[in-house]
Amino acid sequence: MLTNYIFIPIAAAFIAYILNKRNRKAGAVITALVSAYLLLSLTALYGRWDITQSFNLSLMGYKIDFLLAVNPLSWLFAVMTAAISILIALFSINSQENFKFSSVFNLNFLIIIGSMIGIVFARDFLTLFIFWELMTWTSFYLISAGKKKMAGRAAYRYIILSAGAAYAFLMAAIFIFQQTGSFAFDSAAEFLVANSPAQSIMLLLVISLPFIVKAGIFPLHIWVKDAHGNAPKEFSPFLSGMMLKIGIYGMIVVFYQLSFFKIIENTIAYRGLPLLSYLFALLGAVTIITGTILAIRQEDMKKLVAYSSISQMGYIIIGIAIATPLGFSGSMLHLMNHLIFKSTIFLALAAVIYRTGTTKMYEMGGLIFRMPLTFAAYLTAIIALAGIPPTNGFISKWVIYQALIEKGYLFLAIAAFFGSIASFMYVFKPLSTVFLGQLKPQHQNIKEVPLLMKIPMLILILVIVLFGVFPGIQMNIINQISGYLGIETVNYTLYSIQGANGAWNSLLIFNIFSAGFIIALLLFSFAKKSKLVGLLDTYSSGEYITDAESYHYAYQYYRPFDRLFDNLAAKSLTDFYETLTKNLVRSGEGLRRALAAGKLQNYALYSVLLFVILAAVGWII
Amino acid sequence: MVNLTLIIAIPLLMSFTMPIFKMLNQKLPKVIALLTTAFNLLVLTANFSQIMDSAIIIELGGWQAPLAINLYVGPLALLAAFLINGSAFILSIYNLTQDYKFDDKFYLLFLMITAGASGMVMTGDLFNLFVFIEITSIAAYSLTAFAGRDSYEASFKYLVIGGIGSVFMLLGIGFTYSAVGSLNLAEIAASAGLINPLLLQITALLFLIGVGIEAELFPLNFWVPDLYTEAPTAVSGIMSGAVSAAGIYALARIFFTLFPAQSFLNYLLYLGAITLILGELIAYQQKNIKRMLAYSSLAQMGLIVAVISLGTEGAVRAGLFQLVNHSILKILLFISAGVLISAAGSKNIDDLAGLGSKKKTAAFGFTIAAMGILGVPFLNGFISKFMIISSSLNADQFLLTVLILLAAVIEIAYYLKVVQKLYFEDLKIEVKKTAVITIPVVLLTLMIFGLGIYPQLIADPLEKAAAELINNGSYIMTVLGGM
Amino acid sequence: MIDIIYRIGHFVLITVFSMALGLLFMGIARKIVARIQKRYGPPVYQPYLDVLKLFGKDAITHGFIFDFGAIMALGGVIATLFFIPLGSWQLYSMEGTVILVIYLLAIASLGMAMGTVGSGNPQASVGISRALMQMLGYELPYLVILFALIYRYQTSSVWGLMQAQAGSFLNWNLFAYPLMAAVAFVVLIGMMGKKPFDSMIAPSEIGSGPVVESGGKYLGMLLLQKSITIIIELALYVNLFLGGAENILIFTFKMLIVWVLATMFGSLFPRFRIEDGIKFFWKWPLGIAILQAIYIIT
Repeated sequence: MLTNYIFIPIAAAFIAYILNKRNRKAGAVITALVSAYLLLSLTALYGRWDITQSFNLSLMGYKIDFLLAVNPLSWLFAVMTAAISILIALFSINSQENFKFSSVFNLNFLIIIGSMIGIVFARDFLTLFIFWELMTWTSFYLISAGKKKMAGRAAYRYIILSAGAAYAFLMAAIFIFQQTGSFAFDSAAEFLVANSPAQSIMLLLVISLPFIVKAGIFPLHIWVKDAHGNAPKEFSPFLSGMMLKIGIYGMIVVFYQLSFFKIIENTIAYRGLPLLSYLFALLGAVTIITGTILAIRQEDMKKLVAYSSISQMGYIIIGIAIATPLGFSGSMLHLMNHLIFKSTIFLALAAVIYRTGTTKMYEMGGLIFRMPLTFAAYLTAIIALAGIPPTNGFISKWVIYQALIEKGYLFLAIAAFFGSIASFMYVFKPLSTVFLGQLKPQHQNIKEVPLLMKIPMLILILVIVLFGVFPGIQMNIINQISGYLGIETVNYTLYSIQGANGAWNSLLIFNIFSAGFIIALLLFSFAKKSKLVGLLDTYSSGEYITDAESYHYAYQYYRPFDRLFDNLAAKSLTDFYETLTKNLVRSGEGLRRALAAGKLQNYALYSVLLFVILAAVGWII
Repeated sequence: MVNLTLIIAIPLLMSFTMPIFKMLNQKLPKVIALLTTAFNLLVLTANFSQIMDSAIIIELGGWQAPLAINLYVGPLALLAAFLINGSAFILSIYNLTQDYKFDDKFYLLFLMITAGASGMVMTGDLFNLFVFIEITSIAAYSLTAFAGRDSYEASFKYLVIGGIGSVFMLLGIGFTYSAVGSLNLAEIAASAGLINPLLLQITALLFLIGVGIEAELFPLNFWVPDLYTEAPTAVSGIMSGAVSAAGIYALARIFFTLFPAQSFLNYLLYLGAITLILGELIAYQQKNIKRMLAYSSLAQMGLIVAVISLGTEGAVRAGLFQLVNHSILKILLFISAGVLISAAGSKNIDDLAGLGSKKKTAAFGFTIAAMGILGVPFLNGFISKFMIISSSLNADQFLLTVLILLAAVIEIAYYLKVVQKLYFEDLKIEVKKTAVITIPVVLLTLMIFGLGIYPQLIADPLEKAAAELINNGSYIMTVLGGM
Repeated sequence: MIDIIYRIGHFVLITVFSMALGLLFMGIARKIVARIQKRYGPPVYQPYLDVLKLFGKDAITHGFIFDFGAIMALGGVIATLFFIPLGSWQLYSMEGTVILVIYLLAIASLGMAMGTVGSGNPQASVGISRALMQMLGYELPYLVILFALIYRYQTSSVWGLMQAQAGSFLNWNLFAYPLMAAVAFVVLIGMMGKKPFDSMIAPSEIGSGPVVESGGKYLGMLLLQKSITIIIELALYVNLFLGGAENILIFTFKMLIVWVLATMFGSLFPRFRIEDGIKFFWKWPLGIAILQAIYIIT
């Protein structure tokens, strides 16, 4: 029964809410148990791609079929959701001790888990829409529960963009429903292919709007930074790791299952790629560049990582949009890997926030000696994020590069290169300012986080390395997805992937890397033992160092680089949207002043005027 | 089966004897109001299956249809009567915990509104309709003024505009009578085709303005915000839950049954759309929570009018469903807001910050109602939103659909601002003691979820009501069939 | 077993050879710069003495990350070395791709950056921040060039790209695509941190930047890392643009020529400010690289 996967978490949500009121740890424990149950039962579902479930409802005169089915694609997303939820729930058992909204958190979090599984199992627009809305609304409350003030604004932006897009989606879906009499994807795809291409394309673009918003793709990315930056620290990993991806899931549905690619197949093309696809890829490229530039500027570590999420989504979009077997596989790889390393980063940062209570990077420093495991988790994750071998992040980026070079998409490649090289810059900033450098006096007595918070981080480190060496595990399911969507598959073995003009062999690289490392280690250990001195015992050009605080380089770390983009960053899209809404407010105010200023005689006049005008209109017609 | 005349008669009787009850016991008026509305609901329920079968026509005084005043209770009237009396019932429960200064007079007027509005939807006679509108309005004018000094102005505005409306209405009735020679709705409908087109046009417009004031249509609705803001909560509730529903009913009856012409429906469509977007735009920037709810109410009425005037069966059904939802949700919003306001001692939205943790029931009620209005899945607003979009697309009204959705986005913006304030900001003010509203909140929440998860509950009445409106021939046949 | 021992021996041999060669190149560079500035300069073998001396000295450390960084830096470049064909020694260059080499180099940079910042000296942080910014400047045109080359020859292994230029010296990319070779040369100067792109080490300004806290074996290891990095970068250039070489001698000779030219060019210019450096890289090298790439892909 596929409904179990959806409604058990939703039902558990209310139980978690009630129990959590009595014991602050109960909610997280229930969340962990439910996600573990989900993961286990989903594993049992593997390979059984023929399970479907449907309900017929005659709703207010409309005959509606609710369809659920499982396929490799949705299975993967469901498993990812369940897996990351377990880790987050484990983490939050301890980390939410002092969190005012922990009941609300677990209530909404479980509903989100259920509705996300609902989204990926849905085979028709209405089911998709219902769970999509459920997810949007609950996540709105979750984001609101974050940092004071800013979280509210962020959630607000998020919900308005999401809701606007979702309504547009609903409109298009109902339009298709009226033409075909069904909400099912299959019949919609048939209709769209047969329909006039222009209309079909319009419809599909509108349908993909909510997914674009969720995936944080330029120019609808403006909610991402604030929402991810200010959401509760335990929710950020999920928001960034999983909820952005659900947007990508939607895009894949639109592109393949609703035949978007098939419809635009014969339109004008650039280097064999239909212009519209190229446009999507370009959006991805712009997303990479803006996300990266803005990430480098941030002083708030969560916002920095949020922008980095935006830019990483760009890679995934590019890969999917260029629609080559390598591109698609690379995207799916990157999608999984981004989930893994981004949640690691956010969890590590959550651990830091848990201990220090701040997200401003310049208010910290030197935490490595106090929180070594957290540091290790962060380090591993950023090595993966920056795409440095031998981690999983490099493999996925490498496959995407292969796809871009194969087809010669120069400008997309430049954006991809830019994002990747510049990611060294932004991932190094928290490393350097939070974990390395001088320890702040007020953080002298900080301890490493409790065991339950360490376990998720440890697991994630192991997973990063595991997938870095054996990408074949991931390629197995990806090839099943490709097969399911009708894309050519990519050759792979457990530890190697065949690219277009070269192969990747992670085992070899891992071995050579170890060899190099061992040689260096031998050299190091044969040399004389060194003497350990304190961090303040350093070369200071003859100055006396009085306190650690002023001897830490953290604020505006990349100022010279930021100066290059000051003008660009000042013209933010956010401002543009804000001005728009401000004008909306002003127009409302103006209308009210003009019409409803409280003058009774005017009100009386309106009724007579209306009569006269309507009579005149009637006369003329 | 119980005689439906009682629905009008009993409240009127109880209303005028209210001072006596008050003399007997200070608390009695509250209880009497509750019992009366409960009784009305029982009567309606008792007649439910019969009316679903075929409309009940009651000839007052035993005369035949065209001559005597008759009551006509079809599915539509039943639906509207349920809304009106249901709202009054819920608000009576709410009133149990309220203390008004002149409570005998308050409940007198309260029951009068109930009776008047019920009469509006049940009558089969044009002049009688006018009389009931007047009863309702006059009761409402006075009720508005119960909240002290600030409400006098609102009451006066309503009085003046309502008066103008009456003039238009009366003029329209005069024209109609001169043209047709009868005031029976069915009779007029049957011979409307014979009226001089110009006269018909003018008459219809007169009605549009007269009834449009009750139905809160732009630009006849500027009395509404003042009223909803200043009047006591229960009055705001009954106005938006019951009286406006009756107004919509009257509007629909006149323009679907009496003068069924596409051009009039188009007027209504445009006016409704303008009301919708204007209401939302103004509501968006309100700082006063009741004023915000008032403008939102306006917008909703505009939406309902616009959707119903699309004139297809699906659209009418969608509009009626939205009307039902609107009554439920707005009452919940008004009573929750009322409690929040008295807890904060201010109507300013900013002062409500952080009340979510102190006034749990009220904040929950407000939130769930707001989510209902915004159309969150599994709540009733979702179903009606779905139906509205569907029917409006079906009528090839792309622009209207886009407008409706745009309005919905603006709606999200201002409702969520309040919800966020309630739950996620720090308490700024000292919380005052307030009335307990658990029972109405629970009842209304159950309805919201009930209709959201199992909308089939009212599918049948809605379908029949829509069919009744669309097909005015059957109305005429039923009433005049005996001739 | 014999095979493994042979292979390990091979590894060690190549590592030692590259270290030695790199140090020699560094000595030559110091001599050239001195002569340009009309000084006598240290002897060419001075870097050998430096390294030997450094490994023999007492050193201070600032904690485990400081050690770990140094090891990672040296280990990273040694690993990278095995993916570059040196003359006839092809090693693993058939299997690794050129993009892999670029990213493997990043491991070493990250290690060095992490270790030196871990010392807690803000001057190291400043240096690293500059180095990272500059890296974004020069890597972009370089990757565009690689993009064009891979697209042109349909192979991404360094060995394959080298083999594609076999035959006549006119097939060398230096002559086939001279603009690209010029851009790559400028980038090479940036990569090696030579003037005018040496603001990250600026000795007089930020106390040699990244290496400010390193002494004893740490500085020794970083010197070795530097020497191997030089060899890797030069070897890449030779392989990609000068057609590689039949044997190690010719290969070394080609590397030496590139090195001497780079050193001489570098010593002619004053230091760029960071943002000017980035701007320069994005204006000229990147612009030309893009034009060349467009020419190749169309």
